[in-house]
Amino acid sequence: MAPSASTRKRSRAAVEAEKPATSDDEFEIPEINDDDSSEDEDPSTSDEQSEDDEELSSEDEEGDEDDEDIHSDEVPSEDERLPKANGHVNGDASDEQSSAEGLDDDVKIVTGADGNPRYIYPEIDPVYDSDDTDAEETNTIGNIPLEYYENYPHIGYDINGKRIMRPAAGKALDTLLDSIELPKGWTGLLDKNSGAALNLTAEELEIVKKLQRSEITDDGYDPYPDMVEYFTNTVEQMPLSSAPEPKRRFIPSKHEQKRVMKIVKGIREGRIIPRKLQSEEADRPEFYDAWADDAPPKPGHIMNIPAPKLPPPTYDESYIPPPEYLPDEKERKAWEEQDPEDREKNYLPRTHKALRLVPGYKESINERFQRSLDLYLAPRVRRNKLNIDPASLLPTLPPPEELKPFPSTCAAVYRGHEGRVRSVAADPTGLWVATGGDDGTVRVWEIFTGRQVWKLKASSDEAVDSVTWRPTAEGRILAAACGNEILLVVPPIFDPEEESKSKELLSAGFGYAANKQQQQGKKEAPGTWSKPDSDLEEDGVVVTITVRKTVKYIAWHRRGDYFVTVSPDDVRRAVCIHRVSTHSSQTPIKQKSVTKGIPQRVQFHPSKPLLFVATKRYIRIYDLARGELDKTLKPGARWISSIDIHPQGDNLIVGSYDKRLLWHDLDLSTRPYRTLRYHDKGIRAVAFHHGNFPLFCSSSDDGTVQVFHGRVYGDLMENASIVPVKALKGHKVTSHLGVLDVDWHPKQPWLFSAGADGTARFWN
Amino acid sequence: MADAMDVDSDAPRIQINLSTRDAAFAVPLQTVRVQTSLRRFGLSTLVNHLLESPKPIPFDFLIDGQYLRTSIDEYLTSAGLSSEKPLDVEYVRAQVPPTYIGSFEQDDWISSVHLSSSAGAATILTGSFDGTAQITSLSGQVFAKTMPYHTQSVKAVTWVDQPSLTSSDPASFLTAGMDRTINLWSYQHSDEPPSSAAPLSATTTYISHKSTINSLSYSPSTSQFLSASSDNTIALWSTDSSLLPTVSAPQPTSFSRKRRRTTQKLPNTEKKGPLAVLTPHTAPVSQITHATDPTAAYSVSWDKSIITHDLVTAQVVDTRVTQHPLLSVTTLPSLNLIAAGSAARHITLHDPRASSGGQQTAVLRGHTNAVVSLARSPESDYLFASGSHDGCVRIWDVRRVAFSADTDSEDKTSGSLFLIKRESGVGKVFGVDWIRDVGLVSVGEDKKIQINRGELMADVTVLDQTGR
Repeated sequence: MAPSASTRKRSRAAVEAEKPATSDDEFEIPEINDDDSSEDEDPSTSDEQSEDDEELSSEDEEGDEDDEDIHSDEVPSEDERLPKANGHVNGDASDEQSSAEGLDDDVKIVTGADGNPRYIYPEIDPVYDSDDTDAEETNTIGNIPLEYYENYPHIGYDINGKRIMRPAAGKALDTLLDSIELPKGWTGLLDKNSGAALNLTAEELEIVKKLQRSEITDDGYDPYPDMVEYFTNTVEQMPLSSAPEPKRRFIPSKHEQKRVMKIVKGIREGRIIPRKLQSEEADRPEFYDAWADDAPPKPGHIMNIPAPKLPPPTYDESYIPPPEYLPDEKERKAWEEQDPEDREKNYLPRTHKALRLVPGYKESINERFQRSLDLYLAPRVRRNKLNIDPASLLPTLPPPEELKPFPSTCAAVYRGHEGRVRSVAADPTGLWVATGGDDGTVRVWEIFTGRQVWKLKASSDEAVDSVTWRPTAEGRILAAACGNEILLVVPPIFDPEEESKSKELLSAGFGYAANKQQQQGKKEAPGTWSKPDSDLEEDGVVVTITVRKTVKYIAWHRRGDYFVTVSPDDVRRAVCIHRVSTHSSQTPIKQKSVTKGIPQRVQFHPSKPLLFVATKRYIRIYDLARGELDKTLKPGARWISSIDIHPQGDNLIVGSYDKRLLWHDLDLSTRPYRTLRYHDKGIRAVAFHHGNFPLFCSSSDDGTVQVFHGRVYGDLMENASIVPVKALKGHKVTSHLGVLDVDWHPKQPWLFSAGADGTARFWN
Repeated sequence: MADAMDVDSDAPRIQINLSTRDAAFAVPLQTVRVQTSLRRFGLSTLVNHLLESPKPIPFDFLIDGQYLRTSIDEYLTSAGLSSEKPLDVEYVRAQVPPTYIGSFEQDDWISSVHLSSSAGAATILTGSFDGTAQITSLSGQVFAKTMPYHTQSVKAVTWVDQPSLTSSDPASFLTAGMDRTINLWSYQHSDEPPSSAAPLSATTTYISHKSTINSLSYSPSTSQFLSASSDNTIALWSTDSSLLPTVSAPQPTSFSRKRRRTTQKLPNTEKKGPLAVLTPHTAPVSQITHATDPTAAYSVSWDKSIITHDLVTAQVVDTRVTQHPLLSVTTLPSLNLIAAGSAARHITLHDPRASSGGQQTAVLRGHTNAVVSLARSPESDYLFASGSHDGCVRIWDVRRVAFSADTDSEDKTSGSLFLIKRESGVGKVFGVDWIRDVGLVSVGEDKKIQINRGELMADVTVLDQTGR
């Protein structure tokens, strides 16, 4: 029962000690709050509360009255105040109690310690629903050490700002007694929050101990459990199973054998290379080229591009360079004076006595950085080489065998001409072939036998430059250009009826021309039509047309009434159109100057009234009906030698002296559709087959005739297909001239060529 | 019987079945066992032994359509045959390469040749590019020469009545050429060549064609002849002038006028027109020949076709289109085949019968230029000769050709049996003819008549010992 008595005592002392504390509070609060109105309420409430607290705490703490005494002794100034305060408070308390019990007046006026009246308001009952009396009393002083309060009766403030009084300290005897019979878990420490003795339970102590031993504090954790021997080294005498040993234990594994065989097979095939033999290892070089392969290529990513190698160091980068590499003073000075960017080398060779004396390289970081920048900023690109088989780029051409028939061998050689054979032409009936040559003769040959059946000595000094047959079914007329004369001949090899018909056709114009001349009189015609002399007439010549300059080429119109001649020497009247039925000649193209080019060849369009005039570089197409220039083709050749027009009229081939054969599609463009280079020397003549065969050919000064298969499709969308099928070789090149003219058989795939070697040839 | 042959009894033997298509050489015993090491010569000796012929005849042996050129053993090995099985062997009279007999030169290129085969009066009729025809004896003497009725080259000649010593009737022949006319000439043959051969003059001139006449074919049984021309027509004529219409002479051309002036005046001839003109071809008709049946004829043309004509109705019986222009044709009657030479350097074989399906063709390759003349062998049904512009005459054996069903496969080729070159070495061959009495005669650009002859019985012994 001693404790209870002590508590009572102490509670009294606590109340006493508390009162001055409140007064202290009153002083302190205004420093924090400048509010006057609230100022007065607080002490009262705090008083009330402290009283209640006092009641509660008194039960727990006992024997602190001695402490109070000690306090009062130590701080006399406070003690002086205390009695006054106590008196007031006591009175107040009684008043309060009475007023509270009486429930009459609301404000009491009390004279404060300073003599001023003090209003004490009745306590407001907040009527809390909840009971917070069990709320733990907490000290709010925070982190301030308790020593600071040693001189005070309180040890801090609770949440309401009331002082938490120091638990009454027991008397020495009590302490002694306490020490004699130490409570369980006594530590001799005071709880910081409550100021009471801090007792620890056995568990807590244990935890503290464990912490001190730096053990796991977890309860029940055994750091040293007994070992469970899952595996033992003791060999059991008895087997686990009494079953007999399975057979597979002592027969070789098939799976393994399979794998071994796989490896053996790989070794045999060379896919797997077994570990190298010792001897090979011994063959390793004793010294390695340290700079040879310092960074072996990573077999890593496919996009990995190894950095370009730096050049290996040279002598002057050595730490002991040979003396000749060391710069002398002058060089050193020059190097130092140079701008760093202009320096050839960014270092000076220096010599050191030993490798260990070599200082750190100052520029190392800088150089590394520059190198990294180089590698980073200059992206390295893996350049894929295009591995294209050149053969695959070529268009797939059908084999020549599929394009048969075409001429392939020389079937006959027409010998007889002295000098070059200038021109060759196959008769429209397909039985005869006419040639004209440098010896001034026109000869007609039987195709297969090569028999010369007729010969005309047209001139003794001039060469026959061109022979052509009138391309019609009736009327066997051969036009031959000899010097500045054009002979229209009916060779006497045909049926008499046909011969006389042809002659009539030719000579009918004489009368017409005579009439016309009488009418017109003066105007000078470009050509003079006349009867030949009797010798020639007997040989079959019916008409002679004399023009001013040498005629180089004759081309007939398809109807056979007109033919056109070219005399390149005559600048103004190079192209003449002659009309057989009226014996008249005219120059359709009035040419003012040479600037337009000297005509080389002319051709009539096979169906339209168009005239193709090939000059050295261009081909001009004149519309004869309207009398104007229709189109100009630009083959791009330097010097056009010959042209021919496809029988359907939409395509044109051009041969040039610069070895090129150009195929023009008139519908496509003024530029060539295809350029064929198959000749080693200039092309002399080109010719389309005018029958049913899609063939054309070119003859050249290299002595060959190239035969091409050139199919033209009716569909405008489809381009012509051109396949070279055969190079006909046989003509000899004499004084740099090869094959001068070519012509096709009108109905068969047979070719005739006229060579500078004095022969004409028949190819089938 | 067969044991008579054996010398070495250990040698491997094979049983062979001998057969022949020639009744003259049929042997009584047809199955013998012989050593497999035997070659052609051994087998030939065996057959001669079996025939008991007084003079040995060289034989060639065909096994499975091929000539035996090795020993039987080697043949069996190469053919993969067993010597256990009996072997069928066909034997034929051996062909020996015709040897060069001689050649006679003329003034100009010779375009055509026809041989007369009458007994004792073997003559060579040739047409020349100078417009004349000549009759030459085998010794090279010129019996007769025609007057220049033809203003241009003669391209075709043929005998109508072949000369003979027995009959007193004059012989006659036809010539045709580039001047578009056919002339009939009569010729009195005498054994002794006239010391001064008066030129012959033509009796009848046949006029129809408008262009070169390329070929003539006369059929004795109907007395009719055919002419093929470059004007795409074929004309049918008769030697009986009374059957033909009389036509007027064509107006002379300037060419002929000029020529006439330089030569002597020629006697006038009868001018006759044709019985019929056939125009089935669309290109120059290059050659025509009568079939075995004289009312039928085959013509070939540049339009690549072989046309069978019925001469009675002048209708086309059959048209075969080949792939190349054709230049020459001949028949192989016993085999029912037509051989046609083309401008594409080969010879094709056709069966003209409708029942053949029309497509049985073989291709004979070997010439290097146009094949312009064909002549069948007088001795064998399987042989024929071809003259080509490449300057060679080749002799072909049909048996060496494997027939194929389709014309397109030109793989079925065969080399020729023999090759005869021009003795002069140059120039084209324009015509060949082949009869038993004269041999193989070829004419050409070298202006020469070249005679080659296959060796007959007389020289067999000598030849046999050489191993052929």
